[in-house]
Amino acid sequence: MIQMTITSLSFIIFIVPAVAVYYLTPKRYMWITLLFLSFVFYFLAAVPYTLVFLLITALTAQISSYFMEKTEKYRNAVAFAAIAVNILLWFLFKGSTYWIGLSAALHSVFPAVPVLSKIPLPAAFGMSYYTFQSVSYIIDCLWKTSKREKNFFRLLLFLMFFPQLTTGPFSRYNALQSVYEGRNFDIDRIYRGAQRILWGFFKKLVLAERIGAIVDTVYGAPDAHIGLWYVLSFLLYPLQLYADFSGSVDIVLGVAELFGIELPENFNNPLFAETSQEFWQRWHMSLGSWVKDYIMYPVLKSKPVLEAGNRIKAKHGKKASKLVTLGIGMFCTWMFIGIWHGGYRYILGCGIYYWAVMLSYEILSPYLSRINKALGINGASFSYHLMRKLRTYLILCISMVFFRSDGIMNAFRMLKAIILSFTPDFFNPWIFVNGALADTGLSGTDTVVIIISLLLMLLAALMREKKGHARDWIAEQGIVFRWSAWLVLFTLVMIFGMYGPGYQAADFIYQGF
Amino acid sequence: MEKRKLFKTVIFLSLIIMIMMGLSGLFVDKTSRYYKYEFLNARTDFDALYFGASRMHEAVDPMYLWEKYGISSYNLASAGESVQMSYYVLKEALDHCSPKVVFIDAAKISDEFDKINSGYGFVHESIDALPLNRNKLEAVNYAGRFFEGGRLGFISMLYAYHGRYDDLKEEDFKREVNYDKGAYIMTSVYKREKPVRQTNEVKELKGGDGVSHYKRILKLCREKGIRCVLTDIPVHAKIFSPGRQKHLNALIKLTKENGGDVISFNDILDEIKLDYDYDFGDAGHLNFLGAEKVCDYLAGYMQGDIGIEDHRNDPLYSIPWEEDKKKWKEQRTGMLDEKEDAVAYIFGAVDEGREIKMYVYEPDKVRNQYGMDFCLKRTGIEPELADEDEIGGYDMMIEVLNKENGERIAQKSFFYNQSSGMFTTKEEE
Repeated sequence: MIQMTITSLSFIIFIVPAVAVYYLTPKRYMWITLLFLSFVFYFLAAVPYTLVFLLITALTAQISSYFMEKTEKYRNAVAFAAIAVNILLWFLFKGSTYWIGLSAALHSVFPAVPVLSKIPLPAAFGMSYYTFQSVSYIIDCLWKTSKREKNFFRLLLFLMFFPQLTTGPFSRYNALQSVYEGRNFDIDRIYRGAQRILWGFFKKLVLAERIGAIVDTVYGAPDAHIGLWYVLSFLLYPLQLYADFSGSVDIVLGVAELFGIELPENFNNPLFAETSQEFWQRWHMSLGSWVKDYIMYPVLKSKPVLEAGNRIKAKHGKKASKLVTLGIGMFCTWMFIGIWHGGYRYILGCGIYYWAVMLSYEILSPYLSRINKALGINGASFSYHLMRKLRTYLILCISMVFFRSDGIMNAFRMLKAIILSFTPDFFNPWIFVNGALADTGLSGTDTVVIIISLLLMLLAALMREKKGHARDWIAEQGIVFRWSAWLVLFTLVMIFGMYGPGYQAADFIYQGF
Repeated sequence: MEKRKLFKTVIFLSLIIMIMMGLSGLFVDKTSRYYKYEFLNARTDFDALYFGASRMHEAVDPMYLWEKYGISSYNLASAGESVQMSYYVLKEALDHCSPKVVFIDAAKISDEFDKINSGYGFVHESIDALPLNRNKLEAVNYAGRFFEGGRLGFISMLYAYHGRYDDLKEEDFKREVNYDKGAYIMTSVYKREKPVRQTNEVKELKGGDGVSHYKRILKLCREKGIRCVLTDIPVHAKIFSPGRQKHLNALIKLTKENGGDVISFNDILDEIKLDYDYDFGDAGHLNFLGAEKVCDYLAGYMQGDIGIEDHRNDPLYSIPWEEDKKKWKEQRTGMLDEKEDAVAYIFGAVDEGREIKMYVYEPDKVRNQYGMDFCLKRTGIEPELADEDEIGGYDMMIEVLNKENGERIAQKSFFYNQSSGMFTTKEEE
């Protein structure tokens, strides 16, 4: 097992010959090369024997889809059993926090109950991603929205296509058919892939790692910091997470593009969202669409929820019925998202929190509209939209405290400290001018680099809102401008990227899930 | 792929490579290149080479050996260099010159296994300047496993140094090389205790990384017909411990068994007349006075035992050496500003055709600085009472003048440090 994060040199060294081998393969066998490369990647990046877990998942998907095709009678039972096996495996390894925490809680009440400990085996690489891809495949087969893949190895490639094994995105079987297609070498595709990878490196190595230095300093030693230090890390962490996660996805999508494969987008300028609902339509989109299709809609269409909705509708009217059924559907959805992240603090700080925020918005929305109207607020003005975006960002910041803190109690402590920051005893705005930021290990140049990088990211985001991807716009420009833009970005990454001896770029945050 | 696209791709990749090379050149720490560039691009052959860590780096002055004895030599020692790295640097050196003798200092010949006995920065200082060839790759292959960042950290200068964006100085933008022929000669004065030999016992060597590389050096020299001389550059009493002496005795034995010679300076301190009151520049290294004594002895050995010629009348040597001497003098004058205390400044400034003047507020305090009395006697400088307008808020000003026309060559002012009695560039807090 070697250091094989997608920003590591070993990954780059792996990719270059991998692309060459892929395009040298006859078209018919290109998918086999991809599968072979995925195996090589797995053996290099992960503990090799954990591949067994991935194979079990693939086998359950293959066998269950076979039986679902052959029999109508036991389709649901077969699908249920296959999903259960997958979820159980995931729970044993990635969800250990839950059953360890539960056993500890039970133990405190009933001492006879033993406190369980973690299984002393590593989880399979990318388990949280391939497990739910497999579940989606099984459900699609059950719903007959997808054809069964008869070739086990082709199914295996769908689950372990190596770029997405690290940080997603979630792909659907129907949408990933391009992995099986043969294609000609296209230099333009290589350019585009490389450009996207470079942009991902910029976000991760230049921006996210630098912001991380500040955030880690505060979260790493909360007692050593007071006042606006908390506010600073509170406001910066979502930016770090976004630069980190979207940077990793840019690299993954760029690598897939090198092979001529288009993976689903995972972000669409989420920080421009004006409501939390919109935010989640723009953030981790592949997870959002997965839960919508496989949790939210099935729950809303389920018999008990429909019956409950009808009963409430008859008694309290249509609005109440919609609110209750939506509330149930959203609750299941958000609970799943919280659980998927693998910790109680995610269930509270992401799941329940966002469920409450969105439900409150559903309830309060008509009243807010009336207030706006009464106050004569111009809903078309720039400031109105800006305030809505800031509100959405602040809501996100609160959730992110739970993401970043070690445990729920620490998150609450952090939130309390943020509020106290504005009291006379703790208010310390001079930290921004007295050089205290240098304690985080960042120099004045680093601060300038953060600001310039944020502006560049903002520029790219604005272009995407108005014109589409910035690289498409750059591609339309003259050669001097075009080349200069990419060479400058390359130079910035080379100089200001946080890599090299004595410096190990932190793993991508979403690689941990 | 269309030819046009292929052409564009090649051009673009060439630009990428050029950017990377440019950035590497800019960001690389210049220390290694500063000391070794002149060697790698030398215009003469060298009769002798010196290897080792800082003690050797600061104890042998090739320019002094040239001026006084006409010996063409180069000091390839560098701070913290272990003998393992010396071996690879020697291999590279032998591709550039054909010395008659190679001196290896014993200080960093360790007998530990799986230890490089050198720090990360020191390894860089040893090998950064070497061209990327087999010798360097061998050195990198050996050193890479001891440090985070691995081998790539020693091959790609951009990978290793790109984070220096806050440390870039004027020197990083220009090609400055050292005309001291690799040496770093101190002009400060420091008092140390003289060591005494306590044992002749010989430790048994296990053949650890340092010793095994030293054996390779001995073998390489034997094969090439070069005399390999183990030296033990003078140290102070605390360092010359019984344990170190036993290890040194073992190395001496090993050297002699393998046809090498030994000059154990710590056993001939009286013979070379090393003065422990004034011949050290800091706690562990000789200054120019100590270096001259070591060099005088080495010159005697080289010209007596080995038969190295005086090249001062050979234009093949004398022309480039005299040109470099001129540059070396200019460089030393330029470096005067870096001297941190008055004694170091005066000794650094002394040269033929120069007059040095010292101005002070309180002349009775001048001799409070250790070594100043000795310095004034040796240079014949008489402190003069200062005029406030001339030295401002400082306590001492030293002026270096051209004896012929009275023009000022250099000038520096110092603060008096009450607690240490020193005249330094840093004001006491």
